Amino acid sequence: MASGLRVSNLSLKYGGVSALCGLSMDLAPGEVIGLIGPNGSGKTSFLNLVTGFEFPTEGAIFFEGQELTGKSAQSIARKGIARTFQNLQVFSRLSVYENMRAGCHRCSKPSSSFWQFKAARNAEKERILSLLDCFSLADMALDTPEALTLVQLRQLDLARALASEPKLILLDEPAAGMTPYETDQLAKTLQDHVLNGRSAIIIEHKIDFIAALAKRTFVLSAGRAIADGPTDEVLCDKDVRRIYLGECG
Amino acid sequence: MVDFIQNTLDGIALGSAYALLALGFTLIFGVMGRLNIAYGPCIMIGVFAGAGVYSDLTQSIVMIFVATLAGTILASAYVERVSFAAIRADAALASMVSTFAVWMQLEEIVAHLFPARTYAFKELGHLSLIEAGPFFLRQESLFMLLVTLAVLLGLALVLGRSHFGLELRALTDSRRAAIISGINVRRIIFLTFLLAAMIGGVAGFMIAMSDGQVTPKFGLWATMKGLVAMVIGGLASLRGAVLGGMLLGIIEAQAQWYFGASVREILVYAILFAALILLPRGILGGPHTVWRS
Repeated sequence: MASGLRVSNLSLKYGGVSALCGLSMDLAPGEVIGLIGPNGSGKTSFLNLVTGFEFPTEGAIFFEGQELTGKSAQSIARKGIARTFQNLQVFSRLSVYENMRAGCHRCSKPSSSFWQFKAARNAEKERILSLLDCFSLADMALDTPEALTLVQLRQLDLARALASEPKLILLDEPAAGMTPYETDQLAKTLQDHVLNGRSAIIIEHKIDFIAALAKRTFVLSAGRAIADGPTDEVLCDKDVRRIYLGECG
Repeated sequence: MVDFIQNTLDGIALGSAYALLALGFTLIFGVMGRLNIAYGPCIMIGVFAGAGVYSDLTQSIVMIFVATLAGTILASAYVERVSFAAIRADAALASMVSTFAVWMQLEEIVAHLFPARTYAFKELGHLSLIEAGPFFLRQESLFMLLVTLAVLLGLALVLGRSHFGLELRALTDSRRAAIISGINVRRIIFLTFLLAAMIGGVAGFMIAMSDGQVTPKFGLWATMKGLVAMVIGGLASLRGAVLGGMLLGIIEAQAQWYFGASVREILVYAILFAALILLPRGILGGPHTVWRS
C-alpha cells in the first residue's frame, strides 16, 4: 500500500519483557480504527512507536510510502501524524490561543513579504478561532489552561492536535474522565469535525464510544493482535469478550 | 539617607549588567532544565575578542562590539554542540560537568592567545557626572541602564510576538507537548543559546567598557554574578532574573559603601546561602515554577 499507515511485524521489548510482539496493521486513508485491549496490552506502546516516542526492537512503520522507523517524534509530527496522550499535554503557561498557535507549526510556511506574512497570520487566526468554536472554546481563547475544566482541557488537547491539519490522528483515551453525556458529545464532535475523511486510531475503554466512531476494531492482548475486523463482529467475538470484557464461557 | 539612595542608584546601574547575565543563564536553564556554567567563560571569549580587535586592529566601537558579540556567539555555539546537543537529554549532570570542562578549555585558549593576562578595552571616555539635587549618576551607568532596558524590551518582543518566542515558551512549558506539536526542539535550543549569547555579549561589552580592561577572571566573575542573581531572583524566571540582578547590584553597592570591598563579597555569598535555605526557588520562582516569562 503506497498510502496510509502500514505497520509490519512490530515488536518492542523492555529488557526481557515484550510489550509488543510481531504486530502488523494496515490503515487505509480515511479509515478509522478502534484499538482496544486490557490495561498493559501494548496499546499506548503502539502509539508511542508510530509517533517516534519509542523505537521498535524489530519491524518497520511506513506512512504514505515513507519509512518512519527510527525517525524523531517531531519529524513524524511534521509528516502529518498528530496524537493526544492519555495524560493531557497542554502548554499550561500559554493561553488557549497560543496553545493552538503552537499546534499550527506544521502549517506555517516562510513568507516572502510582510503582506504575505500578515495574510498568513490572519488565515491562521481564522482557522484557530474556527477550531476553537467547534470545541466551544472560542470564548476562552485568552485564558490559560488553568481556567479550563477537564473536559475543556481534553478538547483543547484535541483541537491543538487538529490545528496541524494532520492526515492521521492517534487518540489515546480521549474520553477518559468524562461522563456519559460528555462522552456522547465528544463522539459527536469527533464525528463532525475530526474524523471527516481523516485517518484515525482511537484507543478507548468505552466500547460504545468505539462502536460509534470506528467501523474496524483491532484488539491487543499481552502485546499480540488477537482480533481485527468490523467492529460489530469483533465485539461479538468470544475470545475478545473473554479476554477484554471478562465474560466467561 | 542620601548615601543610601545614592548607593541604590549606583546599584541599579551595576545590577542592570547582572540582570543581563542572569537572563542568559535563565533562558538556557528554561529550555534545557540544565545549568551552563560555561556561560561566563563564553562571554570572556567575546570580551577578549573585542580587546584583541581594540589593541591590534581598530578603535572603532562598532567593530569592537561586533567582535565581542561574535566571540560570545561562537563560543556559545561550541558549548551547545559539545555539552548539550551531544549529550543525552536525561544526563543533566554529564552536561553540567561537560560545561565545566569546556570552561577550562576556554580559559586555556585565552591564556595561550592573550599571555599578558590583562588587556585594555575601549572605554566610553571620561564623561561628566549627571547631577540631580544631592545625587550623582555616572553617564556610563545611565548608558548601561538604558542598554539593559532596550535589551529587555527587545527580549519581551521576541518572546511575546515572534513565532520563535512562542516555540521557545512552548518548549520551556512542556517538552513533550512541543515535540508532538512538531516544534523543532533542537533548532529552538540552538537558537536560544545564540539569543543568550547575544544578551551575554552585550552585558560583557558594557562591563568591559566600564572597567576599561579585561582579564581571564572575567569568565568566573560573570558566571558567579549571573548564577547568584538567577538563584536570588527565582530559578528559571525571567522576571526573577532581572529582579535578582538589580537586587544583587544594590546589595553590593550598599555593602561596599557601609562595610568596604572585602566584606561586600562575603555578604553577597551569605545572602546567596540564605536565599538557598529560605527561598530555594528564589523570590519569583514559586513552589512549582519551571519557567515563567
